[in-house]
Amino acid sequence: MNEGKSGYDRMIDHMRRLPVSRRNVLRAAWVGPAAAALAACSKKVGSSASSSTAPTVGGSPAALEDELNVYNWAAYLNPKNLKAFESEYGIASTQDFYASNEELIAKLKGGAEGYDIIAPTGYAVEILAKSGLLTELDHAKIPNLANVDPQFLDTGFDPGNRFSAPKDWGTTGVGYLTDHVSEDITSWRQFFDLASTYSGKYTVLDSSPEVIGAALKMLGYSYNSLAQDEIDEATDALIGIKPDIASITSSNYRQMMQREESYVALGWNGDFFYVKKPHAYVIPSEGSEFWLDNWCIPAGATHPELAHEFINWILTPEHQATETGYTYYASCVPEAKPLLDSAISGDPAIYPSDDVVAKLETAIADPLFLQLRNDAWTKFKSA
Amino acid sequence: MRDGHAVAEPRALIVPAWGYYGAFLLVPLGFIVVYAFARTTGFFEVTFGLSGANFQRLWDPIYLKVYRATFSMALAGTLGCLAIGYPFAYWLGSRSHRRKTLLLLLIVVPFWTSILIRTYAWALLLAGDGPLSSLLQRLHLIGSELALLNTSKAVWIGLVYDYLPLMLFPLYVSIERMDRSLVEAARDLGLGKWRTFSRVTLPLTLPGVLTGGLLTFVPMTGEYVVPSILGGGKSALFGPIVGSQFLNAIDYPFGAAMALSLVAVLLVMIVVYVRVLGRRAEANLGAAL
Repeated sequence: MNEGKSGYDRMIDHMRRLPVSRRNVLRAAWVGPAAAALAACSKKVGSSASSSTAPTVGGSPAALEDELNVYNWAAYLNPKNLKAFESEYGIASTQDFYASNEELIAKLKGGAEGYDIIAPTGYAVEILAKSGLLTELDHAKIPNLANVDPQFLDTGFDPGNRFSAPKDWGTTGVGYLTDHVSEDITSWRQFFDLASTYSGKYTVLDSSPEVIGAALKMLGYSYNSLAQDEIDEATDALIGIKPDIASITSSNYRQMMQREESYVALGWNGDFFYVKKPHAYVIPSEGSEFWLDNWCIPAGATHPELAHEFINWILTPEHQATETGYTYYASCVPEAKPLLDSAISGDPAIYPSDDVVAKLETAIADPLFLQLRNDAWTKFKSA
Repeated sequence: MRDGHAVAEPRALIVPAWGYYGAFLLVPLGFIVVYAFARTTGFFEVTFGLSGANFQRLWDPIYLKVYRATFSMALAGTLGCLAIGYPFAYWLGSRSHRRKTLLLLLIVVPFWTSILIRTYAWALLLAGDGPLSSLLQRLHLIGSELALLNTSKAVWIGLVYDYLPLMLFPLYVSIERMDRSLVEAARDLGLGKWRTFSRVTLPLTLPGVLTGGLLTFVPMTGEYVVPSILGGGKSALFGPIVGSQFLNAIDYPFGAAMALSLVAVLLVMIVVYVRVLGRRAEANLGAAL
């Protein structure tokens, strides 16, 4: 993707990729099956005639466009896959990066055109679809959607997968350096209790849903609680460990652990794989959050045919395995798992066991949720 | 040459400036005012109207605390700039012309680098495993690693560093313009060093202090980069909190109300500041002369 770019551009790309964690702001939202309202909202139908082309697995690339413009999180699409797709289809591609779902939404709302593929999180899919900013997917062109584990399909944020195809999923939990932390951290309770022991060596994400959600879970409440007294209790617990927290950061905690400036971090599972010091990642026993990212085609896409083809292509088990081997986030295609290096497929940090998954919750997409979280967050920060 | 004044230059000359400020200052400010009275009703959904609810929410102790933290940090930063800037500007004013030009240039040079890079440089410098920490440890001035980074002290250091030139230049100008013979006269007539300073030098240079104070205090209250990077996300200063209303809470109306309230508070403070201190400056000046 760096061809034709000046050294400066490449440097900027590099800088972007390095310090910015893939997921900066909250990502959220399987709204739960109740959100059927979506089905009622106006749709933006894909621009091209949908029935004319047969499914194109190994089909004629001549019917497709010759360029694919990807708008994605940094370091979130294996360059090997993109190269392979380019040469297989004889096309060129470009890639731009965003640091948060909000940035993506703002850009598309502002009328940005020319992007063919984007990778929003669940709640962002819902917002984009409601705003008419997504092209409806032609499932006939994505037969490989059948490869996806059904539990990741037909979600609350996009019933029937009209606008999105699952990309990968991950969790929020605790990572720590095993050379420095002698305890096995297994629960949020322990995470909070050990703060004074490792004072000044703690970091938490700079994102209110995850951090307040962690305290809520420790106290036995829902990750998505909307009860003010529960949120207050959680905020007080957080204020209690604030003196022990070195930094509140979503983008710098990997580097801080790598430099052994911090030992314990509340963060996203895939991020810890960039830490090259002995470490462990755990989903605390009280339960935590999981999120799902998705491939979508914006309404303004100029190459929707090729974008469909790309989604179909990337959903094959081989290419999924290549992706997970690069992003360290779990593929939604079960057949990809056996193709992975056993160090990755056997790692519960990437592929947690079913009983752990059962305790995970997804954040909800609700303006009140965000307002309550933000008030609590300001209280925590100004304490 | 009416009334013996200089030729009135054509009005057209101010059109670019007006156009620029109109388009890029007044219009966006108008948007902020409109949004501040609107309500968030959903994701990126805003109902416009004349709601005061956003401003009511600002009276919550949570947000009042943010004001207090922000103003005390900006005040501390301004005093820091003054404490370093005044003696330096005074010294600079007494150098030869060539030296002055060179030294002033040297002050400007860091500004050729992006503030982001300079602030990250401070983060590396102040880090527990950074060069400053190991130097102080080697000199046995501190027992363990320097615990400055990610504290409000680090934010203060960063603010003073960033805004020092804005304090320095107005101070330098007023010190440069000061008639030094008045200082000599005061000394000749038997006034002590400190009284000369407090009754002659300081009143004469007070306009510079006033301007420098404004130029540093006001932007410090809205500073975003320094607290974000050097404060470890832990300091609840106005800039980052407003930013999070837009980027995390997706609550544009509340963010706009916060921003507007800061503008209003600052305006009141500036008017009072200029009136009170400005008058005193004039009075002092009169007494000194």
